[in-house]
Amino acid sequence: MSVSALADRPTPPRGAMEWLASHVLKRRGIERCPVHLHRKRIYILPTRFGLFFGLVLFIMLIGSLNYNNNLGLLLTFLLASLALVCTFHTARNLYDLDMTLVRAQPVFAGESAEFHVQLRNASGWPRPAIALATGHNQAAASDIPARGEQSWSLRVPSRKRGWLYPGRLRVSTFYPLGMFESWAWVEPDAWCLVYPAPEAWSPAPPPGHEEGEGHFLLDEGEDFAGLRDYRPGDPSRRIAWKAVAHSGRLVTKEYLHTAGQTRWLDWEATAGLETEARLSRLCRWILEAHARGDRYGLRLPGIAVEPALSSDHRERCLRALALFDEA
Amino acid sequence: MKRPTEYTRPATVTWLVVGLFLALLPHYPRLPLWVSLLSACLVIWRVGVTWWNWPLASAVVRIPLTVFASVAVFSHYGTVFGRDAGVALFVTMLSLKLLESFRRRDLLLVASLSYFLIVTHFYYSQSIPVALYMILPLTATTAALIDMQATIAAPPSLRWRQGIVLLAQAVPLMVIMFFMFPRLANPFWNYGGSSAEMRTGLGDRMSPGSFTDLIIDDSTAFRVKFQGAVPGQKDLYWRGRVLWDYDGTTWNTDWVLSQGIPRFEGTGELLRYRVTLEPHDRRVLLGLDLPAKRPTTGLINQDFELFARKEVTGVHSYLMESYTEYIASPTLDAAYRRAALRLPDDYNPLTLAFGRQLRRRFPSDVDLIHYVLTRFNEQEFVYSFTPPLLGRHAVDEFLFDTREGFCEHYAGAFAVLLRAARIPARVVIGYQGGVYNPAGNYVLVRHSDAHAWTEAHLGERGWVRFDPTAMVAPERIRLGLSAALPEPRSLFNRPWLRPLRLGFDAIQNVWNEWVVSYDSERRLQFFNSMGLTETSTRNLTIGLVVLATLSVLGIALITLRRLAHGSLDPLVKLYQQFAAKLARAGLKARRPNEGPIDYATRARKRFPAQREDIDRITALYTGLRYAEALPDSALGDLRLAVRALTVKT
Repeated sequence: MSVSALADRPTPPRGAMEWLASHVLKRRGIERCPVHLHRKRIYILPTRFGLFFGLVLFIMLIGSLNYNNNLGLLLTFLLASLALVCTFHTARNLYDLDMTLVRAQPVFAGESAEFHVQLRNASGWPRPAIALATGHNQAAASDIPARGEQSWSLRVPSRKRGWLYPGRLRVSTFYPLGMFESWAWVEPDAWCLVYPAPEAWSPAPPPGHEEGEGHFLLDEGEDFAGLRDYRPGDPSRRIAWKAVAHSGRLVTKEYLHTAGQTRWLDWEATAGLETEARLSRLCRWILEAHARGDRYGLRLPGIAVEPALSSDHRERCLRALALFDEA
Repeated sequence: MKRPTEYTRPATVTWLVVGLFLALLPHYPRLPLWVSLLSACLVIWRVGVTWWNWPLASAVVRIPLTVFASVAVFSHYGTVFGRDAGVALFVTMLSLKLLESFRRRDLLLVASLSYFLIVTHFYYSQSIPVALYMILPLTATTAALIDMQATIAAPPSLRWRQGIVLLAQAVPLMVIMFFMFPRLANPFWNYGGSSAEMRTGLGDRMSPGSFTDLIIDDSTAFRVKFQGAVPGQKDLYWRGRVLWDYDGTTWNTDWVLSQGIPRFEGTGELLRYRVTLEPHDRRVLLGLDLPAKRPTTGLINQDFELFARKEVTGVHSYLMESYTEYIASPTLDAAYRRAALRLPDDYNPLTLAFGRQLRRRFPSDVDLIHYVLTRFNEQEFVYSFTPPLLGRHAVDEFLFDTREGFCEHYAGAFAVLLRAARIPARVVIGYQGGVYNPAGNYVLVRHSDAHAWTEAHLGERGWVRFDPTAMVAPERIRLGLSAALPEPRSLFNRPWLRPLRLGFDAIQNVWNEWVVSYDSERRLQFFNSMGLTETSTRNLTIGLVVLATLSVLGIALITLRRLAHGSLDPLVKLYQQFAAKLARAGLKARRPNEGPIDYATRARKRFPAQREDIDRITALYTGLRYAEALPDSALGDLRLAVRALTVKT
């Protein structure tokens, strides 16, 4: 399997739950952007304040009826009508908006992906106080001007490598009086690629294989770069024993590699670890090799990325890690 | 104390507090001084916290203050129920709530309760000025709520405008609900200890000086709208209470004698009219002499007195019918006759003697009465509101010595004299006259029109009304009270102000008739007048639901109309048509991040034959959309270009 066989975009999950959602719950599933917020998909319900206000109105109604206080009734009816008018304004605030979700830049697992959401208002009146939320967090409410647009950035935390969906987004508003909230659920066609988290303390990559141009031998011939804390897996001959004796903790000598080396970062070199840990270590190696300016290739079971040195190459390798063995 | 995280926008808090304060303000004069002071201080303090970082009140202050204030209200009123104590407690608690209103939900609670506070004012007054004033706190609170939801601060004038627009949109539905909503014929529960202040109104007795309060009171007693022509001033005798018992100083009613069915015969034209009575905390209703039926909301008795079923504490409106020419109670039973002749022996010896003397001189009742009335007219009797004080034999002193007084003196003395002459007589108190208001086509009767007269029973002619005051001061009856008095009694009584006053009063009358006194009876009548003869509650409820639904649809149409496709920006619409034509010909849809120029480039490549058209449309569109320098006719050009475009691959 070559890298190009890796999916350019995720295939949305299909299964019994998905069928249930679309046919029974009438969920729309993932939609192509821009998603139009038709009035049929906008829900509205009273808020807690709205319910309390209703209770106050009820008390006012009973009192005014009992004492035949017509001005009291007039006020009660005015406020009830106000609440009713408010439902129209609140629902109308979301009608016919168009949502576009821009896919986010790839992130490493554990980081937050930043999705950019744009809501376009084609109508001739402004839409105040529109809030956006994912299952994870809530972005601050903003106004959308008439015949204009407004962008939000939503941060979605990633946990594991692979494709990350922001999930369902909730567009909502309380405007104008906060007695009602209208909202719509949108699941836009957007995703983010999540690379494996680079291992925090990796040992240096093992020496390259025979077919590599330069052996990955770390000889004294290389330039001494400095000392760093010992990491498990460092060869014992590179431990700076003098410094250990001096400071009482294990310290490893590091050497500057000459740029332009070529090496293979091989799955087999990480044997003995869990799959995810192996991917994490490979990820770290890729980053380090790229930062050093080495030419490097990646070997995974069934996948080989020929050695190269470029940002595209780095991304190709990381993508291969991210999507490795994805069902 | 740790400062709670306050709601962020100081302006919002200020508007909310201003709304509350405006709703509190009219209560302050009514409340105990300390409650008003406490409340005002708390309001000021809350604003200070927001703007000047004043110190907060810790729970150590708040809780004892709350407990102390509630106990103080309780001990001041002796109860927490009833209108005054309830309002005092509510005002105190709501003001104290400000001590801990920092979070959003607390502020929302304050807003709801501000709305509620407005309604409490209507239990004191339902007048037009009060209603107009309440628009202020209503709008301020609504504006504050809008400001709370908005993401950015805006000038108060904008929020007020938005609040007014929202409220104005609510008005049509409010009107429908108001007129359609069922009213209770009987309340769920009764006023327990109502603590309404004493209002002026017609009493149920006539003692020296009892009319003085009324006669100096210029406020409205009631208004009457006649179905046909308004009768002349001299017929406008508004019957109130009938007084049988005289104990030497006071004329009193006799509840027992009045019970029974009224017997009468109307000889003239039957007059139909609606009376709208201002609250007077008594049960008595007024009717034009002689009431011919029971009022639509009450009862009538044998003396043609009218009563509501309970005290009139709000503006009360009812339909009545009367005859101004009539024979009332043509036969008089012995017991009634005795009661109508009863006089205390040891009062007014001169009058008693004079009466006996008259009886011997005039065998005919009519002649006797005529003689006495002529005497009132020809002798030196004076109409005056400041008569000298009278002693024990008040009638004697009045008839033979001071000869100065107003209606209560004349009516009382006349009745005593008739009784002394063995003619059954009684005193009637009510109102006389009224001002016709052409602006509203009704007669306005003030408390100062209060009047007393006498009825004598003349055999088969029944009870006949005699008004001795009319003999002394005929202009009092012919032209109204103000004509009988020498100088204008108030600054506002100037002639040139008269049309203005009448105009205001006409508005007041419409208000009373259609807003304040609209009740279950008025409601049925209103529906009947609209041709809805079926007036069962069920049908009315269905009617309410239908009308409410229609009006909701109406509001929906108004607010949503602009959303309809047809009213989309025409420019955008035309461009969409253009894109749709290209899409039908096989061009991939425009991506959201693709500008019109990029799109046009793509389209040109795909349809080289139409490149000129595409360029022209794109240029027109971008020019109209972004440059704004093109003439209005460019839109027409664009329309033609889009229409003419035919895409062939």
